[in-house]
Amino acid sequence: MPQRPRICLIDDDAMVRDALSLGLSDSGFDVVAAGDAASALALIGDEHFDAAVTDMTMPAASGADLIAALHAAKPALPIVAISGAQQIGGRDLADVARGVGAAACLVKPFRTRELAALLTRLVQNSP
Amino acid sequence: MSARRQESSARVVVETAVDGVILIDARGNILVFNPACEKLFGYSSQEVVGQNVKMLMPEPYRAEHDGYLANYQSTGVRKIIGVGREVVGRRKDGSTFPMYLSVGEAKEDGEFVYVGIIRDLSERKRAELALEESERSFRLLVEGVTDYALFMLDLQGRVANWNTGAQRIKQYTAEDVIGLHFRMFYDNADRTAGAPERALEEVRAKGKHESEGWRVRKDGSRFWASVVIDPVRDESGAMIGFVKITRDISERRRAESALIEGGARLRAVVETAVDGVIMIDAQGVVSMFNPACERLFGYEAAEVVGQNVKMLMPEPYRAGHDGYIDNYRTTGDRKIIGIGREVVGRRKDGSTFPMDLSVGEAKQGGESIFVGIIHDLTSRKRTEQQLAQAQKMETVGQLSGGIAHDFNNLLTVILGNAEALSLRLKAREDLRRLSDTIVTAAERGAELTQRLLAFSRRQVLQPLPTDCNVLLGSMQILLKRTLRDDVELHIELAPTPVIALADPGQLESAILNLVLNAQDAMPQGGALHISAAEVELDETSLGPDIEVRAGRYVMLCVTDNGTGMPEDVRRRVFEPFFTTKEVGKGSGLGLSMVYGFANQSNGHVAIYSEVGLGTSVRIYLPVAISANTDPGPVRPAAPATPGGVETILVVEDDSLVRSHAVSALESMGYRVLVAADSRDALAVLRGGAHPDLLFTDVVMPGGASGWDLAKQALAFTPGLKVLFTSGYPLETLANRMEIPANASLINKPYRMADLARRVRDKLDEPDA
Repeated sequence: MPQRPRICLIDDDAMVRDALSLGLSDSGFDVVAAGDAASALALIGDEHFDAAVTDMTMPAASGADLIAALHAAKPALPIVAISGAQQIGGRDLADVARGVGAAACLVKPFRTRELAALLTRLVQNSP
Repeated sequence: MSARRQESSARVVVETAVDGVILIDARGNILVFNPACEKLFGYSSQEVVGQNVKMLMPEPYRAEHDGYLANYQSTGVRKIIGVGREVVGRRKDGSTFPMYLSVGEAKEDGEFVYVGIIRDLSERKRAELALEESERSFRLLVEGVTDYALFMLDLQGRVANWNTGAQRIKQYTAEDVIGLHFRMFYDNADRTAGAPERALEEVRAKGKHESEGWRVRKDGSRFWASVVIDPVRDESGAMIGFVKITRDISERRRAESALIEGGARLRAVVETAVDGVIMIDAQGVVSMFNPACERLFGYEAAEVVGQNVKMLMPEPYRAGHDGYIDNYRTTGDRKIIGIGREVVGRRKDGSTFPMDLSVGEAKQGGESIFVGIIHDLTSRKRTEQQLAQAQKMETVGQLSGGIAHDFNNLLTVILGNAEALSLRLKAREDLRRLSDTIVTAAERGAELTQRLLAFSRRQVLQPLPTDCNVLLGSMQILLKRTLRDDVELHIELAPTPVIALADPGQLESAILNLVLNAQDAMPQGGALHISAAEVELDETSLGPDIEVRAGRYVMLCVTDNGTGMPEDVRRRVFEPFFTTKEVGKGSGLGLSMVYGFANQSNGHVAIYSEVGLGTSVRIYLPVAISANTDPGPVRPAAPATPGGVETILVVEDDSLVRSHAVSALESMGYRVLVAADSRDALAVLRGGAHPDLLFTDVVMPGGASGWDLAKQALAFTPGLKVLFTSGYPLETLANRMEIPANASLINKPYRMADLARRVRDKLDEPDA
């Protein structure tokens, strides 16, 4: 039994964090959740993660800024952007997320297994 | 007659003569002094008889008189005697007076006596002086007149005299012109035409000539002259010449022509003004109604001038207008005058329009007149309304976009938890059904948020050149199946391809929405027309509710002859959650989605509706390629549902979608194998199945994507054809992961016809 991949999940909405944590755990991931960008960056600095999942629309720091910071700190870390909107500031969310270093992006609502499948692939492909 | 009688008669003559009669002797002593003399000199006869006549003379004649007399008597040189002359008399009071003295000489008793007849010249002198003075002042007057050239012409028309005004106006001095013919003052044209001679002829014939015309000054410059020529006659009435009075009225003429020009200019301004100009008197009677007013109100000026201005107002202003004017006249209380305000005008056809009216007051002959300037506000109002509507829709769009975003978060939570619950309830089928229902409900909620996002123009569209003829043709069967039997469907296609640049899936969804709305609007049945055409729009062809840029568009029109809708409903139909349907019958998002789709596609949507007549909704989309120049990527018209007998392996984790796909493909005649995920699919293949086509979802649980599956499946079955499907457009997928070259993808949701065509196309591809 291989070690369960560790995922850092960042979303300002506690219910979303809980629901996705539950689903990803069911799908074989270890999930550590953070409610804001600052604690997420602290976590990433301290611990090892196989991938990160972050909301794009959060107060304080925008998801795009967080992705950029995460990517700068851990260039090899695959990052999945998630969002309740398909567009941000008139631009396609996927373009924005990829522009700052995200490996993929999903629009809410999505099935947890969709996210799980994506993460599995990213973790397998990451060096 | 006896000597005595003669003497008596002579005495009577002397006594009663009007002239003074005086008799002196050779020494000058007065012998007789008649009553007329007494009156003239103020002396009585007794006072002077016996005195020397010198007393009646003033100095120096008095001192010289003795000398005259002696001189005459010795030399015979006469000064007065037998001659008569004007001399000066001296009255008793010392005053003097002019008198005519004639002296006769006679001998009486051998002595010379002299008889003087004296006529008082005071009156005549006075008259003469007065005449002289009068003539002098008249001369000065005539000469001194500077504003008029006043001069005489002789019978031949030669200048006889010249005044200051003539010199000033014509610049010639008297020396320059006297004796010259007055034609020299005329300009060449008039001279050649004989105008001067004709003027004199007219005076001879009619007694007067009056005219205006150009005259030439000495320096050659011209002035506009007013000329009067009268005849001059002597005492006998014989004409001896002409008097000519000339005035320089150039200034007046300039002022007059400026006034005329000014009036013409003012008239031109009023006639050509874009704004209406109307003039009324204090009773409200119209005296002017310019062409702009004619256009605005639909009346001709002749229909309005002379009528009361009330005819241009709708009630209640019409009834109140007399009161306003009266009130203003008595109290000076202003409603409009000098202020201007927005009011409502009434056209000839009874319709009304908003206008800005500013009224100025003027006085004409002591009476007030009012001039109104009318600016039509119709188009500004419409623009304002459009702007307000656009802003409202934008705001609602932002709001609903935000709501959709929040709902998506909530739906994520619901879906996640329900799925986790379903997983944990594997053993409890009865309870699991409940959590599955939550999943289904959450997914339906997700569809709603999709529509909200569509309205708020925040969905990801994949615009493609889409032939609307083909699109409508392929929808025909679906629509016929969907619509009730009492709805008659007419699809009118353009003769040439009509290619819009739009997301075909969303366009189809928009049309379906409109068709279902149309059906709902015809509860008793009716006719439903759908058409596609390329149209040219300009500002005038647009309805009040669309903010369309002029240009060429593809117009898709869905028209029903149902109940229609009133204005207040029509205005709001695009707003999200606005619905006229019963609760539960409509989301209120259908038209909002159409609106958002059209706008996000750089197009527009317009709605026309009349209660009882029906509704027509038009979607305007940008033209992708002109049908006349290049047919472009026109999709060939597809047969309704091409089928086949090949074997197809369907891999789809979503059971609803899976069962839909399976039954669809089976209905087309295919043999269908089923797998829920990659692992299942590979198991099927390992089991020895040899499908002709792998039809697989891209994003699947279990770690392996559709791409991965395809790669592995090809290892088992070389030459296997693969058709991918996904809820995400190919481009979006390409952003996320690597896509095999030449991958064929059909987007979810797909129509059965699309699926049939894509499957058939793929199967018909030559083997790799």
